[in-house]
Amino acid sequence: MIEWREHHVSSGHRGPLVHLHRLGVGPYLVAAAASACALALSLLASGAVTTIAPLLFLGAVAVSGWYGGLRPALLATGLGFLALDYFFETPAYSLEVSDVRTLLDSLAYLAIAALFGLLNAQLRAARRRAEQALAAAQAAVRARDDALAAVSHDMRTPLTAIRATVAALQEAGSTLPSDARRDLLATIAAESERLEHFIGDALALARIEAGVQPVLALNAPGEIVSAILDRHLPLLDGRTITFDVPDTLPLLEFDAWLLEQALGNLLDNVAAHTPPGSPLSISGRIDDGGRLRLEVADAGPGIPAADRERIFGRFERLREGGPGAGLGLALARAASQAQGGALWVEASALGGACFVLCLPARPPAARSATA
Amino acid sequence: MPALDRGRILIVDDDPAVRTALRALMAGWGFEIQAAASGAAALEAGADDYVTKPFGSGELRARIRAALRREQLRRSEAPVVTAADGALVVDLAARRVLVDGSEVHLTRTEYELLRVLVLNPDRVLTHALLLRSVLGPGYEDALESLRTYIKQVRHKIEPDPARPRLIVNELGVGYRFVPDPR
Repeated sequence: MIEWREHHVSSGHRGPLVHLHRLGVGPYLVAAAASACALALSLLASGAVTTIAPLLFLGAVAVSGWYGGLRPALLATGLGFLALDYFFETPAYSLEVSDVRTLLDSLAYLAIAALFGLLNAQLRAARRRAEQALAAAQAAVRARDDALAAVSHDMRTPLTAIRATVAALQEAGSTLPSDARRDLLATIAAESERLEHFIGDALALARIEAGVQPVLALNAPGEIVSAILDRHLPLLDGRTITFDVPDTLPLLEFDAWLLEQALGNLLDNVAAHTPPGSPLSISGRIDDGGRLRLEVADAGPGIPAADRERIFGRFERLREGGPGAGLGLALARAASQAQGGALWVEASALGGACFVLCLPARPPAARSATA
Repeated sequence: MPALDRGRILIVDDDPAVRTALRALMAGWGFEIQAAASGAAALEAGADDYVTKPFGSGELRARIRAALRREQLRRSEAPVVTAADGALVVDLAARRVLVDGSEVHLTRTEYELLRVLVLNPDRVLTHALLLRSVLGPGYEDALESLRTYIKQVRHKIEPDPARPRLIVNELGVGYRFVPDPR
């Protein structure tokens, strides 16, 4: 498509002209105004130089093509054609065409102006596309550099700890007291686990961002949430967990793997940010729109309202130097959205954060109705 | 070449060249050879279990123990399966199910489902396999029925059916019977 509209560009300030663009009539007003200017100038100059009128109308076509695209350029072409015929061809002040030569003149003008407008519109559109592509490429490069820096930091830190601990054991292992040795081995175990976790998250996020197709299957929400909780229970040691996802909830179609990527990371997040022994509530119900609404509420420090969107960004942490790689919540949101769901955070009744995960209503009946 | 007992060998390797070479070599020794490219394919070919990288030693130990226990169960004549420290007893010879010492009644389908599960402790049974064993061939897609039967069985044998411990869901794959829940 040659036609191009101003709102494709996401720059800050917009003049009134651009607001008219949004309505869709702006480009045509530009075409009309440019044609009117060309007519006024031609009438002023016609006493001196009569051949200038077609050139001025071509100018109006060029302006219309540049600002509005093909259709406004064609409007300017038509207006110019009529104005030339009416005001400047003999007989003047009439649309009547007196002879073949005048007719050919007019048709030639029409063809050239249309071509001119088309080329101009294409040129402008191509330039805009090139600018957008450049901006997108630059943003992608910046994002990749940021991600690479963060990834290499998060992978190297545990590796460094593991290597240093192994070196300590190799050099002084036999002379160390047994509890010191146990501590060093525990460090290796914990750091390996951290690395494994990070790689798992990074791979899952890459897989989801590559556009994985959700595997929708009929599931009982309660048993899936219960199974996900069981898998993350070792990290949630000592927390008082209230589980309220009744097994009476209707069967729904969703991707259990994607739900685990989302919910599992929310649970890991609770484990990382709330004190052991604090209460945690996991509840689920079907909301008024038939959506599955799962809530993970904790009694931790909570998340200030200003940060409630930012924390879902990649490599974002609530506080600089906080625990985790800043990948978990980004993955949780990407996994929710990958199957048409949504994830956000509110304040919880327990005093901390309450993460709300909504999955779209996809009851089995909807499938059999379309089958 | 010393005389080797004729036996069946399962080769699992993701490299096709390695599989082909080993197959030719060992077939020449007189073994019956099966090859699989992945753990999942190995299961289809009759392997007892597999673990994926990265795995911990605890998990590996639990899987080996479960495989050995299944083998024991397979060899016993009229097995009685006891789970959860005796809270659940399934007498397969008498077709009786006891929960906390008292008998509970299961419908034919519910019992069939429980029987297949307890005969394969700690093993993931796919939805299709469970449906085929319980409802017969041709019902492999009846997920809705399976979810309902599982829920009914849980209500009869689990202390808290909403937080099942004995029959657990393996996300996207099937169900597993856990005889010794933590």
